[in-house]
Amino acid sequence: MRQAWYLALPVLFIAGMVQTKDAVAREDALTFATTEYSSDWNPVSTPTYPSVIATDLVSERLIRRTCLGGDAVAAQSFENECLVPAAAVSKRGSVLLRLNPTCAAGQRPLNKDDVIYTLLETTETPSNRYHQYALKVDGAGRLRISRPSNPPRWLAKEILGFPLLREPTAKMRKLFGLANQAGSLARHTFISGDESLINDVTGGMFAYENILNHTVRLKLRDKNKSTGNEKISRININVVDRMVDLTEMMRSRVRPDIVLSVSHHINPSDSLYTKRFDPNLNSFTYFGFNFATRDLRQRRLFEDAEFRRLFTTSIWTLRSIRRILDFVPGGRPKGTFIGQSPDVASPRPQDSPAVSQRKQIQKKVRDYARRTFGERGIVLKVILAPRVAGVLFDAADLKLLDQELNAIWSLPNRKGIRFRFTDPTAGPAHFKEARRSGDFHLVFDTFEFGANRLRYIAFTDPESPLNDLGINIFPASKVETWMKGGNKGRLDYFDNVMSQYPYAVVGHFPRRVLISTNFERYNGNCPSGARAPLLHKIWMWERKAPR
Amino acid sequence: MTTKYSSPSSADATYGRGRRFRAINLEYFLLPDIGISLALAATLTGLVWLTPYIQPGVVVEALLAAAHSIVVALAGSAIFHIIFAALFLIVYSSFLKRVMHPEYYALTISIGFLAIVAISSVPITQYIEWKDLIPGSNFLKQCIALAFANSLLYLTLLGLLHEIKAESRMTYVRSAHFKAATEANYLRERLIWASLSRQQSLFYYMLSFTLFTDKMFTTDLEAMQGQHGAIGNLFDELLNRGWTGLFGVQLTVLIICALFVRGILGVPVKVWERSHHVERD
Repeated sequence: MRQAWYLALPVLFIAGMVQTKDAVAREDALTFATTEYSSDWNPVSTPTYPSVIATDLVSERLIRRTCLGGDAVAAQSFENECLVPAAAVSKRGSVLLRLNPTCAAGQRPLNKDDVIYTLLETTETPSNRYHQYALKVDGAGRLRISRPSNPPRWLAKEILGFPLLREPTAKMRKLFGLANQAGSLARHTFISGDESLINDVTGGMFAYENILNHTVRLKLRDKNKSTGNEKISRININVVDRMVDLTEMMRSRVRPDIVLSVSHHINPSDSLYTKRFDPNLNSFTYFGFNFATRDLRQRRLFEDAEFRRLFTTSIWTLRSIRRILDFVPGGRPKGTFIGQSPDVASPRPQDSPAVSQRKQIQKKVRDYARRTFGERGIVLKVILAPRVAGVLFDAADLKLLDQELNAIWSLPNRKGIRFRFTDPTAGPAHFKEARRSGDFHLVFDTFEFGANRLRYIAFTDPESPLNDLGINIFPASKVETWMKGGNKGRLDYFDNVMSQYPYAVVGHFPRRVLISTNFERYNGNCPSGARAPLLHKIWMWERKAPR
Repeated sequence: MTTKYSSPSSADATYGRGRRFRAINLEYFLLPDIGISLALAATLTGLVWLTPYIQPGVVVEALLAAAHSIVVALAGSAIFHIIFAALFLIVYSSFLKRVMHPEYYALTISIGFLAIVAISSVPITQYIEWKDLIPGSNFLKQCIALAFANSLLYLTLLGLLHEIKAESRMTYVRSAHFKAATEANYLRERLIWASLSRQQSLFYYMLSFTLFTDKMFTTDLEAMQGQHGAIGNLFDELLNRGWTGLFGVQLTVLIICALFVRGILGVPVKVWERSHHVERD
């Protein structure tokens, strides 16, 4: 009996320790939940939205946005974080690099070379959110924005808010096997064990504590610049497998404090969650034509602007599509019809095909199909992205879409244009692989351009790696002009897209970030009507009542 | 244990004992499972030590996840064994009395059979519905779901009964009454052997089904803070990111741990077989 006690006591003691540790940790910890799986937390390529959020929390910026909308004037909306307070952005959108001593102090001081290193990594990584701006430092030590040329001051400040990295030390490079060349950090996969490397190259308020498969833990970085007023010291980002589990979790007693990227049609009570929009979630959903396909007949078809136009308009006449977009008044649509433009904020007017026009469009489509493939049929293989098929459409919707599309385009006796849908049952990895291999003709996917509107222009740039469908309708020089042209270039791009239909836009399916109403959020010194950006100074948030 | 009928070991007890100890020293650590596991572990340690591409952290995490899965699988099989033993003893006792009380035997067999079919036909996914009804910790629920689901009870019980029945038809068992022994005495040896030799397969079966418990029991935020199972992790990584380096490391660590535990589970049956001079074909 006594021996049993000797055995039981240490077990109880350890259990007690674990319990207390847990209780302490939960007190000032903030919990994020998301359905987006990520095991790579690379701060340069930021492969997923949770990794974008985590990178924002662990890194510093030259200039940080502090207020949005309302009465906030441009001067109040930004503050210099790692730039000296006196540094001003010029009219042409450049700034002299002089670093704030608060960033240049501490264990790993930030210096000019680190900023140059960050820009090098950025230019080597097309998936980086700031890649298209082509930032560079000139000989005089001025940081310049190449695209768009001469941006307005507020836009320049927005662009200069990129996450800053420090150059890894030689010791770190050796320890983690990083080659001594630009882009080696972007190619590294950040998984558990890489916390020290990621903390070494970043210097924000938070640092990675632990990367696990379904949870990432961040904690406040021990730093001289800490004021001692921090209320939140830990952040957990949890991955939930299914949306159903997440919504169930949101209703439970212990619910997540922040829920990332939730589709617009999931609408919890206002007493539980505040819904916030994040520009990083900007996207459009489209049918992409694979111009890089090896099948010659299909490629010829895609090169015909008439086909692209007819296909796009025929998509908008389908009942299965109209039902999930806001065509029908009074419904609960999942998305918005945005015409042919990729941007929901496009100022160009869009006309949607009215119900009365449906017959007319369908007749035109049939005529086209008869004229081009009346003698011999053609099959177009359509691959569906998991985020489209799993989230926006269920199996029955997809079946209806398949039937409707074929009913319009195909002719009797297997003639005309026929569509064969491939279900993404094998998951996102398989979809990515299939997309890379190019063994399909059409892709139904969502393009996420985030806060950077140049990204959708780059999507049609024949020279950009973002253009994996090989869209070669616009010459590279023209695309470059649009990118440099600022707002005028963007409008030009819309005009060209509306006449050329390089991709068939289905609509915009907004996603939001939900923030628990349990928090007194930090609003900084924003004037009335204006508010702090999402997750601004999150360490100053205060939990209202004990849960 | 009565070993009257297995004459070689009882006839030369000293010799047998001596041989058994030698065998433990040499052979049991060279069982194929443990040997492969140790070789893989040495290779992985070497890779972690010598190259910068695998960080110790990822191995540690994979190790914790594998340990979690194995503990769930072992605890599930412990619960399974308790239920199984209770059920089996009822059926087996009536089996031994089948000549004297055939009606009692028929009744027990049919009720037992129906009950087990009923329990076993519940798919493991049903436990997600019952999750909130079952009291106790998340861990316990996982083990219960594993123990009851997927017709494991049915398959094992039926298999064992068939073996016992086949053995009972052998001449040496039938002639038990004439040799101052009982049928139960003769069948016990077979029963022990069959139970011991099933342990390894049972463990694999349980471990592979932890995928479902990993996927099902993470709908609670508090539960999510805990450790995830290795097989669930592998599934997610493969589905979302494909054949990555992380997947490779996690899989290797899981194989190392699972083989090691499987090897250890194989030691009792090896010892038993050696002590009874049984050789596997």
